[in-house]
Amino acid sequence: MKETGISEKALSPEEIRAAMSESGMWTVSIGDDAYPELLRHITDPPGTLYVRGALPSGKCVSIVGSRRDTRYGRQQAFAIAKELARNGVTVISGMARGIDTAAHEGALAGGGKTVAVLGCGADVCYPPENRVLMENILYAGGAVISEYPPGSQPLAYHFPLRNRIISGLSQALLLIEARLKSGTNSTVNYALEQGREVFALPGNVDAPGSELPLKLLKEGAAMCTCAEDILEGLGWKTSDDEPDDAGEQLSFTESDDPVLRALALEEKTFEELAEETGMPPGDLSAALTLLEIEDIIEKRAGRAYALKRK
Amino acid sequence: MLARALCYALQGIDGCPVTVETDIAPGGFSFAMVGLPDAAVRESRDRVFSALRNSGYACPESHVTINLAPGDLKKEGAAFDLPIALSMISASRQAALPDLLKTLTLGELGLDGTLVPVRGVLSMVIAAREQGVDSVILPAGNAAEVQAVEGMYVYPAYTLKEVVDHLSGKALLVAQCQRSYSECLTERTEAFDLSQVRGQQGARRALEIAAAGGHNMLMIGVPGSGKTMLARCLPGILPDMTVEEAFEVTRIHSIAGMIAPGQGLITNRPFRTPHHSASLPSLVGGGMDARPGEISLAHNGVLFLDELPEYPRSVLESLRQPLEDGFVTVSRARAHTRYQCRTMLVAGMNPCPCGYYGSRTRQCHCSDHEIRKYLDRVSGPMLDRIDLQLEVDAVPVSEIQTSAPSECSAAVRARVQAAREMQRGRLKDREMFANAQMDNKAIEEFCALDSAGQKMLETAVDRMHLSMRGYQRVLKVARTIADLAGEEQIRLPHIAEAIQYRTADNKYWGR
Repeated sequence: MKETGISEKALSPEEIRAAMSESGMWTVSIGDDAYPELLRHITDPPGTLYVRGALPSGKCVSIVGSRRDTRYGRQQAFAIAKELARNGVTVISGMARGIDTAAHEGALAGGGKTVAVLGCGADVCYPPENRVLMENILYAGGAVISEYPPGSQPLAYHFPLRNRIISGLSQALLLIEARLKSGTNSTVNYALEQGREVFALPGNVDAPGSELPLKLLKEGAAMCTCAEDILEGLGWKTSDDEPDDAGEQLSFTESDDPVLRALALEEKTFEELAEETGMPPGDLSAALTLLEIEDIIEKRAGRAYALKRK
Repeated sequence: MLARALCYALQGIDGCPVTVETDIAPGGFSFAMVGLPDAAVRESRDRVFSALRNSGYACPESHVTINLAPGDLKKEGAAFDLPIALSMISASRQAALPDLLKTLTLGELGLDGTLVPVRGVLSMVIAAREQGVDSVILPAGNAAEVQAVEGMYVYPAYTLKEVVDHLSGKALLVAQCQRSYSECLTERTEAFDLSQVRGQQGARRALEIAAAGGHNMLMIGVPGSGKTMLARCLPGILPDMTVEEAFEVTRIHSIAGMIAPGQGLITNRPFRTPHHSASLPSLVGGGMDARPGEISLAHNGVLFLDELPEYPRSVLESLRQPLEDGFVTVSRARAHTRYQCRTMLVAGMNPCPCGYYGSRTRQCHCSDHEIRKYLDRVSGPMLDRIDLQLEVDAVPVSEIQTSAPSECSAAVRARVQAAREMQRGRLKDREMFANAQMDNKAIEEFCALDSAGQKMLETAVDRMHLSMRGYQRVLKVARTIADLAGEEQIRLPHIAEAIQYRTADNKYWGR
């Protein structure tokens, strides 16, 4: 058993047992058959895993990125995770703020399983605002995993170590946004060391969050712009498996509704819509509400509207 | 010998009569002033003595006692200089001033005997008028302020000597012409007009609705999106103030000493923009003598709080109750005053600490956590008092240059006025005058929906996670939108539009 597994306020064995039964936690050790096969073969596998929920099996992809995320990063993480989940891939991440959270949420929205690997006890919710997310992950048949016993606090040195489990559990890793010096970098290094396929999502060259992805892309990481890139890259799906339904979004160009026509190709602000449709602002507001309620469009930051991605 | 003069003291927003009694008795020189004078009143002795001497009168050289009756009322300010000087002249028999008790006299004296304007004149003159006094002598700089008071002979004077000559009948002052309120109103010009606002159609519409229903409003937008400019246009599209309203506003400003010499009745609705570093007393009122705060200075007008999350939470919370009640009670050890503060709150804020969340031109570099922390500085109960929430987008420079001039404030004001009249007719039995004031009962009665509207609103509550509190706000705003359209029945498009002004709440605060 590793020393790192003991937090400052170590619980007694009885307390640990009580905490485990209360949160429905179980353990799996490296000798057990249930121990994840991929994780068993990394250089420094954890001896024991504390698990709530069901351990992942089959296709697993980890999605990691910065806590200082942008809307772009968050949206992409969400969309890609969602699409992966639809294709039966388990999305693994660290439940941190930002990209991690978006990835978990995306996977849940896609109706798939997702696994959160924590740097604290699996019964401790960190960050606290993700309490509901944690419950949803378990509810959807995913898992919350930690190598630290219940009640362990989220100490800073836990997180770099926890990162080896994130990459260790998955066949591939997708990097969304991160700076050169970041915790995410350690996850990427573990993934490379463990021989995992590394994908990176390109971002603007001048955005701080693009530093690490662009560096990796230069060094030969696989580029990912959509979930298909990962599915095809890993041979889980070939390009002619099924025709994609890209036609759906364009269909509004011929719509009778002036608002939908204006939104057919890109998101627009309220002012641009008012200009383009020539509608009085009151009528336009009313029309937008109705479309929003029908779930056809969505509102974005800065009073912008866009067609909802199906 | 004894002489009496009539003056008025300020008691909060009201004036109350004070008799200045001066007794000059034989004996060696001594001077006593009684009747709870504050420092400014006590110092009047030195000003008055110099003014007397420099105006050619003799200073009393014996036993002087001055009493400001009633003795239990605290007297403040320099307005007593003139009646004290006059009563001294009369008591020392340098001139016969028979009408000293029938004429209200007030004003500060300069050492050379000139009259200097004082604060609170309008309140004192109104109180005097109500108590049957029909003439007032005051510093010329204060004359314009009271020109709309009916039934009062106002004699503006420049020096002490003029006043003495007038009262003794030697040389009469010329009474100021009275002006009716409608004459004063013609002077109304607003510094900011909606025609100066380019683009921003959505925001203009929201502003019109806010004005029509008296709704509080929150604008969320990137720096430079024109939030302040839009807010400044709001007073100009509000209906003209009634005479009563104009008097209320002028009185509060007069007491705060914010009327420039020569300035008449205030006919423009006030627009106040306290900075977020402003202290609590400066906002709600206070200080030693319980002066009105910004919230009262904005009475009948607009209180604009820019950068809302930057205000200390304690300050924002202390604004809540007064905004709801329409008045604020300022209590201090020696003063206890109730000021009106029926004002529209307009708040502006950035969507995140750096300001550029959601901007198309600049990248926001705030983390989710930072944004949440920033937004959480605005409390739920505070948000709850804001009916309209609006996201304002920056107008591209190209559009500013090319777009045609937009509709002017006067045209919008006409529509607002019509909508307000509909509301007044509907709400007059309940002593309300605008939709924003409606309570649950009134909402139930006046905001009935047709079946299509009801169904849509229910869907919206469900889909867009509208809270129950939000639901009521939507109904109120929908009522105003229907009023602007001149319709008694709230229909589906009205509700649908109203919902747009609620969604920011959900998006940013998730409530």
